[in-house]
Amino acid sequence: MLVRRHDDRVREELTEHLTLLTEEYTRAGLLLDEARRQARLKLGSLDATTEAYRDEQRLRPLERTWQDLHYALRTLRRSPTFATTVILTLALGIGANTAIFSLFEAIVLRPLPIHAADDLYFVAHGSTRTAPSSNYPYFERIRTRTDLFSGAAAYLKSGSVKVSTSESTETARAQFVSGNYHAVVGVPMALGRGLSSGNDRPGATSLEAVISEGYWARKFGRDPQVLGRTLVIDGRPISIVGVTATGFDGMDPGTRVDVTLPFAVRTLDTPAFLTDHGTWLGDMPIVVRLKPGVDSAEASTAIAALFQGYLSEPDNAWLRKLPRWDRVRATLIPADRGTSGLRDQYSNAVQLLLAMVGLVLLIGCANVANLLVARGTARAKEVAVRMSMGATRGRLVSQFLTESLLLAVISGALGFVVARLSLQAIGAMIGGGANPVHLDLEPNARVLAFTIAVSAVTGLLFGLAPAVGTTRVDMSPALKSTGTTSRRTTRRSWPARQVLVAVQIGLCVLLASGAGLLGRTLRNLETRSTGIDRHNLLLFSLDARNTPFPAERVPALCGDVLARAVGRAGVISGSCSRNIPIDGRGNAAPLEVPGTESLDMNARRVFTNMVTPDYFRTFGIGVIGGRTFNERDSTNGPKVAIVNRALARFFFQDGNPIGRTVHFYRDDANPMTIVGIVENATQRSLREDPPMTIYTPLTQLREPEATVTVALRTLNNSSPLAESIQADVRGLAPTVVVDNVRTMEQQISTELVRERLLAMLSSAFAVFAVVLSCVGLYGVVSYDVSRSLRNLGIRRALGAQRLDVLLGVIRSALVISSIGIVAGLLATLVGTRVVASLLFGVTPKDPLTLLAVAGMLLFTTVVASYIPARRAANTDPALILRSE
Amino acid sequence: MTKRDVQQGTLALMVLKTLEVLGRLHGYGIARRIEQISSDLLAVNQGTLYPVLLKLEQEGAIASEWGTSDNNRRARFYRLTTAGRRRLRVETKAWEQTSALMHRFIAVKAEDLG
Repeated sequence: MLVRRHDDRVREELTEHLTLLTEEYTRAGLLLDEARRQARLKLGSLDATTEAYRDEQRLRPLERTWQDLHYALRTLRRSPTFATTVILTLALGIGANTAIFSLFEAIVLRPLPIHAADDLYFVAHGSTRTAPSSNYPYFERIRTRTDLFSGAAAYLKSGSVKVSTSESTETARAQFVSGNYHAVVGVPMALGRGLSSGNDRPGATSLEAVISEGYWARKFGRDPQVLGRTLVIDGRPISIVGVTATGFDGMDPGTRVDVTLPFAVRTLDTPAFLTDHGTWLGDMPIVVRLKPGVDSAEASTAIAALFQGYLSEPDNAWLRKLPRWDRVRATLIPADRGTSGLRDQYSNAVQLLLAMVGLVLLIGCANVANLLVARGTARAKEVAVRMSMGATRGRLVSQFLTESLLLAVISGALGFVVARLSLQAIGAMIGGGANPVHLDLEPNARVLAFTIAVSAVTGLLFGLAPAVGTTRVDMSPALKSTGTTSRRTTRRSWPARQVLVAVQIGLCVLLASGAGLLGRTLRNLETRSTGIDRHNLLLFSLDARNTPFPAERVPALCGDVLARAVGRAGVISGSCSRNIPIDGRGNAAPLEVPGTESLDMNARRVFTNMVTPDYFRTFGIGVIGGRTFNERDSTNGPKVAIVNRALARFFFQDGNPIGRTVHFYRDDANPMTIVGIVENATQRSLREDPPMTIYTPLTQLREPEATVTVALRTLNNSSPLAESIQADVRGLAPTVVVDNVRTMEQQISTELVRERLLAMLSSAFAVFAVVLSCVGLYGVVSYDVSRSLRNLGIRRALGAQRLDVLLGVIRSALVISSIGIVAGLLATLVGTRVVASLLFGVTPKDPLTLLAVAGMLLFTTVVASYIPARRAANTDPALILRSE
Repeated sequence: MTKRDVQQGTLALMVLKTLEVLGRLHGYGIARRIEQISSDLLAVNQGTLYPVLLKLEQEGAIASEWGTSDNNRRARFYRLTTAGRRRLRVETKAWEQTSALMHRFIAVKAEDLG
């Protein structure tokens, strides 16, 4: 390369020149070593000359960049500690940012992998952002608007079905869709085709299904001959006509859909589905694809009118009577990202983490900037020489910037690796547990672009100021050969470094406060009293839905299973129930209590549960008064009920509910006598207060329940127990499925995944930030001490005590720190409103947390400044003064 | 023109003149000859010669090639080109005019006092 040749050439010339000069001096009478030294002095610095030579070269821009890079690489290799420190710091910072951004991209930004996602819209009613509800006749009306839409499709939220082979039955996730679903949504197919459009009404072609790529891999091992094979689903033979491509998981990213079935199959079970005006299905979203040329606002208005028209039909008068329906409007909302429960749950959390991790990177950049400034001061002489030999300032700045960008790029590449590793861990954390979340966190173009952009911005951020500052050197003092303490150049950078450290500490306050609040939230939720004993509790469900096993016999089956289970060693007691605590679900119904007729329907809603006698004992729910259920509470016996403390207090205040009679809304024919009161138990989520609950015996069901949850209190957690239970059930009723085996501790743990993720990550970021700031503070204090060694020496010579000097240094560090802490506290008071929705049991302005953070930072300041302070205190005054 | 440019400009002229007078010469030789005549300009740093040599070569005023020196050592020799000669003539004339003009101004001042 041209550049290389010029470099070698001038080096060779200079070496030769040096030799000749040395000879000249030896001939003049000097000894060899002295001659060589004089020759070197006369010729000047070889490096500086080579650089000036380079600067003179008229290079094309590309050659210049290549030259800069070459030079930058050499410079970095010469200072390995500096390079390693910077690269490590930045790699962790950029890596963390990339990891969180990947999460953000996957959960919030990513569009569905469908064709022309921008033209797809949900028909939404009401204020919810997630999708909407409807029924089939309404859907048909929308479908007729071919003037607006090139297609309209509907689908039900996925549920579980039984897929049987001759050996076993297992559950799979299935979704019912309208016939034209795949065509309208634009689903990419890996094999075969989507469902055909005529598939809403039962007919010749109705028994077909499309399976997902994941299911195809799991169950069929990606057999290319899978098309045409038959699955027995809920007792019906269904033939497979297509496989969807990788990455498509239905319209609700994060939930798994294995099999997609047409409405026609659903209609076989519930014929009224197609014509029923009387229900508004909460789980049937409608998607429409806009016709080319149709404006979404115009279509939205048309849909609103259509909805009003539908509401005013006589059949739908009951809809208008539901509370708040007069305020419901229909609109179109974009469906390009689908509906996502995952997004709703994690969106705030991920955005918060993104902000936090950005701050951490800023702190890291500040440290690196400080390092560069310090290094720049050391290179001041080189810069001065080069500028005196003709290098323009712009040239030098661009060279220094190249160094910074090179560092940033190397860190970015390393950071990418860091991100991949941490994403595996995070993915495992989110994806485990009872309701596994399926997130594709593989790197894609967006994430890559983000990493590159962040690296570039980082490089400019920490590189520009030092580059400009280093080249702004007053040449004459730097050219003089001493160059120890040149006051003029250093005093200008004095406040800048302190300010930078103060800002870092302020940011640490923000991060540490956030982490503290989130950590306390996690702890509050974990230790919140649930009203039950969560240890050593094994849970599983018996699922007889859509099997030949009749639902009426489920309670009896339950009794048999319990009888066998409780007999085993290690099982203390067991129960069957419709719902269990902290399950995320629950049934509710309005309760009629004589004397409280004036209450609003919503106010009298209570949670219901149907349980076996040992339920309270198994879960450890305390009995306050009366009795629990027993054998006398049989199917034909008098109807009884047990209420919890919250219900008793609400409906009966201080009176005794035992003996009183209540009944459910519009169920006067079945009054129940209250026979006992129990403690409150958390029902749906740990964040909610325990609701009012009424328990009825499983033997006195109002309507048959096809699934129940079995709970076993054991001596310790043992997994072989689960297998033997499953064997028992298979022996008693082979078609009933044992599903969702877990312990109560696992279930609680799964519910707190988001909180745990937040607490863990925010703490890690806060710790990292504090460490970085400490290092930065240490650097600044160290530098100041070494600069003012002369003053310190004089003071010590004049009689200042070691302790005074030590405390003096620490005090000055505390001043910087305190300014930062105060600024940080102010920012926190303003900024933590952002976190409010994620907290539990603490307020955003919690004084205890803020105080703790301030205290912690003051302490770390003392620790960080101790070593330089000791060095200052232990200076030997004689040594310092002598060296001047 | 900054101080740097003035220095480089005068140094360039000295290089050209030296090559005209002494013919083909290597870097060390040029430096020695210039130092002999103008001892304070190059007292600090003989290395500053080389960027100037490169600039002159890029501008086409001098040309260089590898050769052997007196004591059989490999060295790079520089020589004046035709364009260089022309440039030397032009710049020498410009310098002479400038210095004559300045001299007159300075001379006038001294006379005035008298």
